[in-house]
Amino acid sequence: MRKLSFFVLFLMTMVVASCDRCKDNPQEFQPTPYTLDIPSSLPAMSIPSTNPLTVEGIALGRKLFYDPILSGNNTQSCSSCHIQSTGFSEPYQHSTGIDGIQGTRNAMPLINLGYQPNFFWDGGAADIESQALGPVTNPIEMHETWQNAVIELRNHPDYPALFKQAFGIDQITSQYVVRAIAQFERTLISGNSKYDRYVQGLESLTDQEMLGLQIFTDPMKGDCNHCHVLGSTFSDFEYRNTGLDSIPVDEGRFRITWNNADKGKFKTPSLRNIEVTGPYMHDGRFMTLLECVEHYNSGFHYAPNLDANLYTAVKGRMSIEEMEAVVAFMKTLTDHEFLNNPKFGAP
Amino acid sequence: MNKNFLKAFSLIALSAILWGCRDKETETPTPVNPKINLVFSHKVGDQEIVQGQFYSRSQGESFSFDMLKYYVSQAALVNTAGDTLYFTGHNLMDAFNANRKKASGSIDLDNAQMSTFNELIFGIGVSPEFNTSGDQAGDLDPAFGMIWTWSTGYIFMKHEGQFIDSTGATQPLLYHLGTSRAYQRYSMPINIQLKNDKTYDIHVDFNFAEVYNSPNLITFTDNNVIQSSGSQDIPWISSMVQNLQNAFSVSSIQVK
Repeated sequence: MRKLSFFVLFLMTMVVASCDRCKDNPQEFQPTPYTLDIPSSLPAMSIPSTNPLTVEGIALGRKLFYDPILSGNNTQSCSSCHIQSTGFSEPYQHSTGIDGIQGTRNAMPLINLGYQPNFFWDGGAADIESQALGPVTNPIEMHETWQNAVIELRNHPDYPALFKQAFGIDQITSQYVVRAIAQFERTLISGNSKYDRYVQGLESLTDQEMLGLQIFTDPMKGDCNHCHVLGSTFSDFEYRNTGLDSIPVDEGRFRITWNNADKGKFKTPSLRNIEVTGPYMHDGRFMTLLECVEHYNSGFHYAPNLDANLYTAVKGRMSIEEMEAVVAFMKTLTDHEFLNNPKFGAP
Repeated sequence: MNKNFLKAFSLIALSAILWGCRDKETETPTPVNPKINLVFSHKVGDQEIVQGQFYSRSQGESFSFDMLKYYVSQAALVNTAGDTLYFTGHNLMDAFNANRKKASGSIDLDNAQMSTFNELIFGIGVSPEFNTSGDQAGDLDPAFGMIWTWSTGYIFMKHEGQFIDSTGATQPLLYHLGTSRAYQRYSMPINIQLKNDKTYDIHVDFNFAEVYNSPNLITFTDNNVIQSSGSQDIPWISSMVQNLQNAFSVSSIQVK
């Protein structure tokens, strides 16, 4: 009888132990944590705890970024309009979607995104993960449904295993697609320009570039520094009406907040790699940097929501030499290592 | 005789031990928390909605439903002591999908001072803390198409169909309710005593005769396509939020 009880006890222990084992299943999901290599010119980046960076997640995001599988007819990927050599923007005023329809805003560069509080020119997307949802479904962009995109990925020969390695999941969902893309995008860090090396004492600026730096920060001249804060990300990521039109064609930030004070306001873009990310402004209206500087010098319009700094600025306060110097300075923000980094290219 | 006695004794003893073991398990059964199913019926007045059928209203208009989807969020029962016990998260409901007509959960009565509940509360839409990212799973998976992608946030309710105006012309009807302004929790009286090990089907009527009529009259002829996409839609959103309060009622409760 005692033997029997021991036997039963033994059996029960076995059952409990085997249950515990099947719960853990540690062999399958062991992604490699990835630590960002952040240059001294930039601050630490906060990574959401829900989507920690891993080698497998970043590699998967990179593959998805370059894969046309996410578009309606499998002809366009994120990289179609976000091209590395032009700072992950496109050298056209407006981008063309899979149905041949053009949008009304300029494709934004993808640089140092992990420092931005929100995304799109009007800040409509609340995080990088949510941002990636938009272009896939927009009828004038990739014109796909997430339902279809996920089915295609589930039926793909490689993706199910790659998602399993990166996230430990058995079934691909849109949530993990955008998480992977966001992981890759957070690695797109640019902080090794000529200006950064100048700050580190490794390189010197020309006289013209030095004059440009001075004008850039002079509140009575360029005053660029006010919004494109010198150093770090070269933007405060606030929303402003910069007087592009007296009556804004595109209502900008207003479209998101429905607050009248936000009419015609757009996000201050970073100036890093600005030399290669043209055309400029939210609608890509300016082809050259000199046109942009001239806009702030004398071209701006007195719109109702015009930023106070511009409202009080004297028109024509910069000479052509000074404006050209500002442009020369802006070109020191080009980071060739970033633009040519093979880790960011097509896998 | 002796052998047989031993055999019999062993058998009885073994049975007793096994029975004892079983008894021990059944003696202190773990009570199962009461399960609650909020079961929605979609109606225009007394009629259950049929896809594609037209329903007339007093303004000389009639309207139909091709699609009716909405989120029911964070449903709770409130007892007479004022304890609020939540039993669901976010559930996507679909009037024309038999598997998406109820929101279910359970309540742990240990957390309640009393088990008689007199108020049912739930939100229509996605609560603010879940409405700020599309990086979500389950019924909030963006693949359900209930999310705006140009401005992060969920579509709380989609009613798509047609309407016939007073001149007899048929036009599309497309109402998408959403944005933080549209999130509201709706309260209704109920009388229910919960007990462990029971399942309660709370049947809730969602009446579209009220949704577009009371207290705010919404006529389709004025505005047949509204997607909560700009400040011009604020009056409509406010009207909808008010009207929805009158659109829900508990019709019956089944205990199983």
